[in-house]
Amino acid sequence: MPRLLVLFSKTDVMKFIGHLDLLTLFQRAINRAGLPVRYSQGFNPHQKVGFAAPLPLGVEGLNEVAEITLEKYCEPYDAALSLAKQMPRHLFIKDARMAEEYEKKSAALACAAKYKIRPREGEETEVTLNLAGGLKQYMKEFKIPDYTYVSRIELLRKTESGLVPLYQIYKGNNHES
Amino acid sequence: MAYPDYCLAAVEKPGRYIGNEINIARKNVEDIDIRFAFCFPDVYEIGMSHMGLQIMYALLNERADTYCERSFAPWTDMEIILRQKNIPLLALETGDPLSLFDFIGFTLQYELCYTNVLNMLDLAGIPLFSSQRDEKAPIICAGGSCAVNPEPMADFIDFFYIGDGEACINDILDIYKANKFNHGTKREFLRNIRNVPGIYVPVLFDDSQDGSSKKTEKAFVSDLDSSYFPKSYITPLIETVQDRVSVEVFRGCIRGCRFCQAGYIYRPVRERSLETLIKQADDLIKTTGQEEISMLSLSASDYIHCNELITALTQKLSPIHVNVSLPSLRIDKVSLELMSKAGEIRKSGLTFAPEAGSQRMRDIINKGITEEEILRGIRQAFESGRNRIKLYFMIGLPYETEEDILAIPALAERVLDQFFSIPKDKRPKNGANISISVSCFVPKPFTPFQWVGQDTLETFRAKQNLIKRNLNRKIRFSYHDAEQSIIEAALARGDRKSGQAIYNAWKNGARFDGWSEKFSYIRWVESFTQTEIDFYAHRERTSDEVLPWDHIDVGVSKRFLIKEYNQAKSAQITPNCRESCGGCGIEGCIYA
Ligand code: SF4
Repeated sequence: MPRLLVLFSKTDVMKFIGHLDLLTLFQRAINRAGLPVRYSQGFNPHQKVGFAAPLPLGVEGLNEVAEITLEKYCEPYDAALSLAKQMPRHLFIKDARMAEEYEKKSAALACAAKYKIRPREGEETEVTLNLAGGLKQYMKEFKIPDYTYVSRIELLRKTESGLVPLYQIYKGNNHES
Repeated sequence: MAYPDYCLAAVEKPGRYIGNEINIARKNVEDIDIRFAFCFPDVYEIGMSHMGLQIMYALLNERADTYCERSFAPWTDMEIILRQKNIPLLALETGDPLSLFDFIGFTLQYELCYTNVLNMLDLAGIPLFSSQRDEKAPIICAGGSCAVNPEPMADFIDFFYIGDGEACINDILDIYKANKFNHGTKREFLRNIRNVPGIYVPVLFDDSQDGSSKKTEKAFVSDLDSSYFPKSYITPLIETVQDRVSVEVFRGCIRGCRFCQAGYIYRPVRERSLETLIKQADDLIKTTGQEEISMLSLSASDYIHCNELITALTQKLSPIHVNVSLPSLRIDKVSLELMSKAGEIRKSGLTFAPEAGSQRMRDIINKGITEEEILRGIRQAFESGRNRIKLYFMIGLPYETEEDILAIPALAERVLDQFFSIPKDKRPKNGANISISVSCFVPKPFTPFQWVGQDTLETFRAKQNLIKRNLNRKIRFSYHDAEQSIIEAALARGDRKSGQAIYNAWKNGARFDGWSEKFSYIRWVESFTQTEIDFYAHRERTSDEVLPWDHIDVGVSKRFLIKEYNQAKSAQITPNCRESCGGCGIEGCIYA
């Protein structure tokens, strides 16, 4: 089945929309855009849509990845455009591409992320943390208050040449984390 | 402006306060003449589930000269922060403070939200009493079903709009605009609208002539099929209570259950045609992308084209994975088949509302259904594979005896017997899951029971216990808080003096009284007095008493209500309107 990878950002008030609500938002946008999304089989069919990694409530995401399984191939650029038209403000569709067949699901590939943290005005750090609780631990260790501005700049995956942006294609190099 | 991040980051559900949803109106404030804030006095998730809000929002925003925005009651965590940081209540679209608006319109859907109305005004920095508001303050108006008895809220509201929202709202705005253009005062505006159908202006009401001053007739859409309906609904970004779009199949009801206010104040029945409903459903599904659509009415089975509607919608919508849901169906073979068709088979639960346990009691309340019909419906439900049955009952109904109460657990037991009388291979494998939910009767204005004295707290509790003691252990039992129902009754039939009690309750911290965890009975007893609660809730009124809502005319005659109350006394049924007209006095009825 063809899979569409969608690169998007979620900023401003949209950072207050949680993971499950974001999923519903995407599903409804897909319906309105009329994308040929694939549904699961069974009693309660649902769209096959997912995200590379949930974003904590209140954290911005600049390069997030959604993965949509389609019934049939469609031109990624057109799909991105029609989806972009259906999104609320502050949720920008930046790009889309088809996943290569050999590529694992992005949720399986994403293992770390680069964050920008601003505990105080004028004081800003960039850190790379693992996705398995790395941010929480960091905030705790450095006693950073909960409502601090945090932005997830980039989701990362592991390759032979180290951590690289998740959304990029690595031809012929399918090393998994 | 919008709520600052530090505010939103500190509350449990920030998504309630950010707006930015799909299909909201975006306008340039400089280009418009009238700013209208549609306020729902409960949390976002409840308010956004309300169809009336969607219709009025779209209707007002159709006007190029008007910008309608929304605001909801902030949950208590948000209120604390807003008060601490001195941030006023904002409208969701522009993020502007409510105090800048021309109109603030509340919809009053249940009495227990009254303190939220006061709280929202206060958070907006607007004086609560209309007498304390100057020319600069927004005009505060209120509509919704509770507005049929406007008196309890009359001290706070500049004008009430009684009846169908679509009917006359544009006239009001036109008059407002003309008045503004002519530099007229607020008082002049109120005087100019007082003769528009449905409008009640408390400060202009002269009650000295006891009932002889002009009555307010409800605003009324005579042709629902051609009345305004939006092409799109606002699609929320967070999950709401009714997370689906809905269309209204018909307004009004032919049944005339004597406890049901909606059954009287929305008379007569006005239907939408099949074509219109299919078109509306199609539009909404396309513009919202939502995956469930609900067919709203007070009693769906009474729609003549119910079967065709479901067939057509299912054919159209199930290939695109949209579910059709049908609340308020009478449960019988036909409707079970309809539900299966609509794909509701995967929901194993069904609800029935016999309302009373004994036939005598069901006749008293004019719930035209027999025990045989109930049991047959339930048997068919079991046979069709459903095993979760919930039965709704009411206690505290007029002329109720101990026998009538005992008939509730007895009926529930016979429902269980039905299950076991079905051969093992024909009934659901996982056993029967039966529960009963018992609420406390609240007498409401404009019903035949508007004169009834409500049961006391002790009586309600005794009746609840009686049911509990006599109920089969296999049947689950839940009941509504009698304390809330008593305050609801006191407010529903309150008068001008009740406003002070509402104010006191709010002052003493009452918020979200409809939420049992926030409700405090003691607080309300202290805000009223016990004597007043007895006076408004528990006292039986005589039919010659002047009622606080007598100056409102919903179209159903008082004579008819008295006749119905007498019929109840002798457990006489009144046939439904389609069978024969009972002569309620409403104008424009197709069945009369
Ligand atoms: S006029 Fe007759 S048929 Fe029409 S609502 Fe009244 S009682 Fe029913």
